[in-house]
Amino acid sequence: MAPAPLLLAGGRGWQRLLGPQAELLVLGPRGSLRGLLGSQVAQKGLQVLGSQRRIGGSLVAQKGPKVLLPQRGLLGSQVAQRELQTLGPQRELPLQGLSRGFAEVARPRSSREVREAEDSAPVFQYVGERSKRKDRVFVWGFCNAGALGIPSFVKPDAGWKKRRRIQPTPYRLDTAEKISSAACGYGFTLISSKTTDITKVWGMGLNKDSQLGFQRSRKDQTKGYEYVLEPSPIPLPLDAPQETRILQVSCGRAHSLILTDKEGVFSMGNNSYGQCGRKVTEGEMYSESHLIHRLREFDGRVVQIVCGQDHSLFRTERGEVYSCGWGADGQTGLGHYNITSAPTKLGGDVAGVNIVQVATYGDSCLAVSDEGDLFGWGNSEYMQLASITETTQVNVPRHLPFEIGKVKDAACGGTGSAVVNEEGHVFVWGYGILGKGPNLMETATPEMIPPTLFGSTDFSPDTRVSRVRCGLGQFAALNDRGELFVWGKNIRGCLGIGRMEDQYFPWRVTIPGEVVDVACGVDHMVTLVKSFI
Amino acid sequence: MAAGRAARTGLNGLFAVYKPPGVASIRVRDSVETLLLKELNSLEQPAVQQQVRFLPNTVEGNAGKELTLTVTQLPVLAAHPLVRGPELTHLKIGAGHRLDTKSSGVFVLGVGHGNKLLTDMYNAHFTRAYTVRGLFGKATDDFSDTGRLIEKTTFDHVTRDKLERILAVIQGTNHKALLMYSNIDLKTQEAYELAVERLIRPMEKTPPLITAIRCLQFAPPEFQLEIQCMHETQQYLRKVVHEIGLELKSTAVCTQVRRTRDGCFTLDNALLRTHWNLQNIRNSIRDSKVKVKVELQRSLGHQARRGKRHTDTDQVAESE
Repeated sequence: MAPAPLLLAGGRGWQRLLGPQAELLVLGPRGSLRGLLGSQVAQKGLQVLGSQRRIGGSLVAQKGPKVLLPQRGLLGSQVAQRELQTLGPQRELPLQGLSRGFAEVARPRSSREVREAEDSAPVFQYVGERSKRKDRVFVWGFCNAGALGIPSFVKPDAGWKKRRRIQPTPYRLDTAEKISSAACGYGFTLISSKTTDITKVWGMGLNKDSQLGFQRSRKDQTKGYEYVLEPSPIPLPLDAPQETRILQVSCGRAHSLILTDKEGVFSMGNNSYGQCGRKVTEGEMYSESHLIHRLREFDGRVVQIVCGQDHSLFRTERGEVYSCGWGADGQTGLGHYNITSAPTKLGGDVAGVNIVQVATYGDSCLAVSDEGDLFGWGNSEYMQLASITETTQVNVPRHLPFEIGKVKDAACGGTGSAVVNEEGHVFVWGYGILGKGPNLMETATPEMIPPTLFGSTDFSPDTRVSRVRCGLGQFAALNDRGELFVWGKNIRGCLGIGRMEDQYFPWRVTIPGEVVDVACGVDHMVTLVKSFI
Repeated sequence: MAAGRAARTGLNGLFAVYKPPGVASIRVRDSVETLLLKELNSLEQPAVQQQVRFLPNTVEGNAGKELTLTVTQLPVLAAHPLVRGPELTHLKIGAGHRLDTKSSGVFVLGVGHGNKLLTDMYNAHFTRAYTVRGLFGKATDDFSDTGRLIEKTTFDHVTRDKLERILAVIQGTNHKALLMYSNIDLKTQEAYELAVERLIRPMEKTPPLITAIRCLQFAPPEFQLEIQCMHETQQYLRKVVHEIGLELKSTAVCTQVRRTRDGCFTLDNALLRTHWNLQNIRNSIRDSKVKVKVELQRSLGHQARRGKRHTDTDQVAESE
């Protein structure tokens, strides 16, 4: 017997199996084979298919119609029977009204026949042996500003589509390149790729302060877009645009920072508090501005950038931290409460300490040292630093002596903060919905969230949280199996759980893929995901 | 008589048998009933009732034949077992959660007063554990390997790692569904505490939910999964295997569904075909009595605390 031929089928392979009679089975790579055990009609149709249809290139045995209908016709009429007798084995078109097409009469098949038919059936290949997992981007949250990057949510492009104010569950964003870093600001998003092509970073959303650079309007070439609905490339003034790679992007309230591997840090957007790292100009118009500033005042290479609401933090490879921007809450950590327009090195308890991570999003900041110690400064109105001081603003970095083990990852939100220690346990403190039910609304010392809420079950008791991120009022945690858990205030659907209510304890977000990274904004979120197969 | 009654006092409660594949579960219940009846009827050997009859007789007397009456003892035919039939013709044996014909495993039966416990077990919404074997490479119309072939696909790209990723997603989405169907207001502290303890379980009829799933063996094309679920049917488990095949961009059929645990009855408690006799069943009922009571009280008490239903475990306990 000839070996079963191999057919290469694309993503629509299921439909190719059945050809035009696709509607008999509910299809798609994710659809189960419904309709088979259901109606009689469907079953009869399938029998037709099994023996007769020529499936593009397949070698399914083509038997001509031997007997169309039994002599005692299905219809009682004499006319029909006479017509039947003339048909015989010729391949004529079926009669009107009597047709079973080219179908054979179904008869019981012996097990040998069945086995032979099965062995000679074609084998389909949907995915090659060495297929790579695909990288995807999923977005959800508030759509009106265009921050999700899907234009049909704001301006529907088909008659049946309606404007969507909120996308409550993860929605796939199609990108041209593999996205390696994403950041959510207040109503806008930046995504970047590690490519050496000219276009490396795209922005979408609010652009009233040119936080996405200058986006030339197509209707009027002298003006720029105020809202960018689609991921649009941001032209960076690079010296070597085809060699430099972008490592990271970060977004604040109205400004953004881009970190490259060879050319330092670029900043754009609002500079009224010096957060872009350049001198504040009185009366400067930030909208439709072409200015993208390159920051050079660092001792050493910058390896991490974070944007707070109106300030920026930079971390160099030597473990030093620089800051610039608004300081009224002490978030610049430079010992005063004034504006800083040039990045200045921080002192206080972080002087001389090798800092491996800084985090901020609102007005308070956290830094993690290589030994797992935690340092904080900035706003403490919501008890983020109340464990060491009574004052509500701390303008010098102070060590936080918490007994929570070695800290591996820290995140600072608007009113609460979260850290992960090296055992994968999550600790939260501050004010707001912290993740331990509605009874815990504020605490000055970290409280651990039980690991059973992060996906550890009887069968897999040692799943641990690997990363934690904060938006303004929500938290997101990633465990080592690529599952995303969110909790906090559900501002305009930013949690992505499908409901509009606040979530008081960690809740899993259903995403068709393994989550690699997540970026939280005020009212939207972006995740970088790897497909399963 | 006495022997029979004594035999039947131990026959009130729940026990588990191992249902072999290829046999309908109703047949299993019927065979157990028949075997028990046969044994019980053979135990009872009532002494056949005798009656004293004065039978006329002819006796050679002085003046020819005389009619006299002789005393004889005869068995009362109306009370003879061959006339009346066996003592017991019917035993109340109820079936717990049934297994379909192709699957096998632990099958809980209740006898006598234990049938009330069957209702309680149903209302307690226990989870059940299955081992499911699957085969990559083909898809059939009824999701098992005996069905009609729909499609054959390659599966050389499938690794254990990919399979476990898919299983993790299935577990995650089912866990979410578990919390959603539990009808608890998620904004309360009680919901948080129950979620932490993982005590949340829907206490009413819901679509099938998988509480845990993991891969026990992986040797392509075969693989074996352990699934813990509630409100399921065996055909649903076969469908899950089929959908796992689809998610892996291949196809899979289910070759074996075997229940390893039903509530608190495990494979160790299940009686094999050769052990279906009175003594073993009575021992099994006795051994599992305490376990069943504890589990039922825990579940139903939990429900009563949540104000869901009025529990009648006390009445059942008295009858045992």
